[in-house]
Amino acid sequence: MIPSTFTRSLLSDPRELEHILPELSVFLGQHEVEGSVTYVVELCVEELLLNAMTHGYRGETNRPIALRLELHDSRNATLDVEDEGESFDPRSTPDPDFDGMLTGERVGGLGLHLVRSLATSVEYKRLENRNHVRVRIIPLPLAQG
Amino acid sequence: MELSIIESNDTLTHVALSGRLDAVGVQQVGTRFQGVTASRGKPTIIDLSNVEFIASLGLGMLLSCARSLHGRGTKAVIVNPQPLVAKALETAHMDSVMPVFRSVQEAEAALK
Repeated sequence: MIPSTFTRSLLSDPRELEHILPELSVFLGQHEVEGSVTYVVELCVEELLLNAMTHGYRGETNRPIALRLELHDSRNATLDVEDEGESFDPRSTPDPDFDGMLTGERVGGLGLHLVRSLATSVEYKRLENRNHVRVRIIPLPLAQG
Repeated sequence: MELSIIESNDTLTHVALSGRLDAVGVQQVGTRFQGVTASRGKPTIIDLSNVEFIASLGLGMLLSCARSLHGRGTKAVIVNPQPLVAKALETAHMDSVMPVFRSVQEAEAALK
């Protein structure tokens, strides 16, 4: 497979997901990306965009977010998400309170927990008042049967 | 995203979801899902065999149902998730609050 990129500039409006997510699925399908890589890429895009919209921009809907996905081959992807929101390191949030899932306070932080758990690596930099998150993704080991 | 009611009686709720439980899918079915599951307060089977994808908002939708049913003294179980959906459920520890079964028969037995 020839290396390929998917780039989008979008606003911090959750309604942007209504076209970005289907377009991303089409792109990944066209490049015959391995199933678990496809899954984790789609999951990381949704979670990181929602995180930037909700936390970085605190719900403001007209601020810029840049998305870039590079497919090195069908089993190896690098995702970059950049925004101008408040400084927010996605590696630093605590894991959800799994013991209190049924009875405790509303469970938060599931999305970033999934990103940290399912991606191969998550890097973060704050440069020139912008958050830069880079996620690397390779196939997941899955239990058989 | 589609939601089908398989069975809804005095002792059981059995629903099936199909499609993608992403931000868009949850927006499409979330309110109705809670209405036909959590609001009824009955033991609930949620068939995920035709769900291709789930992210945190979809997990939150399922968890909200489980919490509500727990508060009413009953529970929900999941049937037949696809492998990558099962991996997401496991990673989010959902299987500890909504047991996962491979068949409806096993799920019904666990709810009795």
